Amino acid sequence: MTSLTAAFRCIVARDITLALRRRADVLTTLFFFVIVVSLFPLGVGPEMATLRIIAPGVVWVAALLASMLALERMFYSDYRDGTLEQMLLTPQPLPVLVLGKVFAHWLVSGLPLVLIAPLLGVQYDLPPEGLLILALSLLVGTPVLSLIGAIGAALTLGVRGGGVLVSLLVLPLYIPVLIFGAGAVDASMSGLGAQAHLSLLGAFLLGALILAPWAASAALRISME
Amino acid sequence: MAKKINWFKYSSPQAFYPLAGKMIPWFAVAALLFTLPGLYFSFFVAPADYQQGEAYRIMFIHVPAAWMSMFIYMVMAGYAGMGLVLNSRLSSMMASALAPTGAMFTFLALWTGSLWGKPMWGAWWVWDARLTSELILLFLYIGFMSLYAAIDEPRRAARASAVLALVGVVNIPIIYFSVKWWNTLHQGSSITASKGPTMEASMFIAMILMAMAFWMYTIAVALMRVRCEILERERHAEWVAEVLRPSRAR
Amino acid sequence: MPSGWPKYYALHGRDEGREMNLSEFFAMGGYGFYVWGSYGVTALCLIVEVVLLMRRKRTLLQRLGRMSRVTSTEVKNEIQT
Repeated sequence: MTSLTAAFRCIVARDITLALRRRADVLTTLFFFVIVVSLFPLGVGPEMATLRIIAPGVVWVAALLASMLALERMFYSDYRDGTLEQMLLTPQPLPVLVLGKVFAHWLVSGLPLVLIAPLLGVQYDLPPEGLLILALSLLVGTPVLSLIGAIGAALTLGVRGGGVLVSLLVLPLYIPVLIFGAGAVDASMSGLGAQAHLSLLGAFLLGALILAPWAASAALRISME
Repeated sequence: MAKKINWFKYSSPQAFYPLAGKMIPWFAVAALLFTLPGLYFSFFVAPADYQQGEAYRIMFIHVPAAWMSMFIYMVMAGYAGMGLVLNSRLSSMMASALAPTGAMFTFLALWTGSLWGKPMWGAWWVWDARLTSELILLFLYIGFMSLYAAIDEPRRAARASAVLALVGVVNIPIIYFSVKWWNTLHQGSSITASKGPTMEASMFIAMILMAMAFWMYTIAVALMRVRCEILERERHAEWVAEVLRPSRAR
Repeated sequence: MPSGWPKYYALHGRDEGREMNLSEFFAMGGYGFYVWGSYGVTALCLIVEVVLLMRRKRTLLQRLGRMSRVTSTEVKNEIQT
């Protein structure tokens, strides 16, 4: 058991160190998110009432796209320099290693989105509790995106046109997270309370935590054959 | 006493290729035999609906197409899973042979649903729970086929798309219920189709006949496609040259 | 209306029991565009799929025939049709 947690911690520490050495990559995802969210008022018009209605959906769709763009980095550099092949050969179970990589990936690509989302919500004139629920729903929802995305990233590893392909595979699977993530903010603003939505997002997170690392490792083994 | 047939014999592409060739005409004829009375019932026996008039006749292809789109995905995922677990080449070939037909029926369900919706709901598209889930199902089919097409090595392509199909199967109920809930929360923009509480027996028969016709058609077409896949993948095998010979002589 | 054409009876409303003529049948009570648009596109899709598959099979057999001709000349006469 301790060797498992050690392996997990080791992978997380390594991936974060590597990501911090290439800080530009992390910032690219973040700025993409900010720019996409800021474009919508320019397209839709500046009426605050409209913006308040579309805000949860816009922020969540932008989060989906941003986390999808970051997926390519999850396994690719390890795949290219042969590290991934070594990982498949280690005695530790692959799903644990995959979980470590997904967690590290979420820390550098998902967590920044959660932290900056309230700021973007202010642009859309969301009330304080709406901002809180927005950040909370992203906090629970973006790990699910990373977990599901890991399957897509593993399946398209080294495939030509993999970047576009992964969006085709992964975006339909993101839909439930989008519905309940944006729905949570909607519900809290209309006074219904976001409890049910957040609980369901939590259930998705648990389900994805159990199934996704396993499916992603199967996909990795297929891709590395 | 029943004669024992070794079905596993036919799980090899080599043995299945001629068998499929023999089965195709039978299923094609069966499809035709179901289509003709199916159309007869749809247009001449089933009475006009008291609310929707003649427009409801779209139902006789819309509902079977929607059934097929979902059922084919399940069968496809079953074959894909079998190919993954048992490592049998034929199963994964069947999975990829079913996908285009399934996508086509999904498209047809959307197309006919849209044409039905325009006179009934007044709009070509409404974000109805069923329509939306059908659209997402089309995306899942497209993902499966794109992944299969993007990987050059056939074995890896089959296994990778099998994983995707299985992930899709786990997700389909979740997607369906999320969309349903999302739809009921946004009641204002949605109109639900009212089919009427009772359905006349002739309507039901017409729908079942058309569904059977689509089913037979799907089997015939999937067998045709799997034969092409077998030839493509096994083109270097000895038996392909053997198979080519008698079929030419005829 | 050609003889032998199945009799269509409008079962509801005041026209109950009256035989329909061909143009009325194609009009589908004003919904002709939607009904025939659905059935037409469905038929088209099914037929196009079968035709494409038959063409795929034919070109495949031709290509395989050409390939096997390179390796052995005895299958030469199989390639026709």
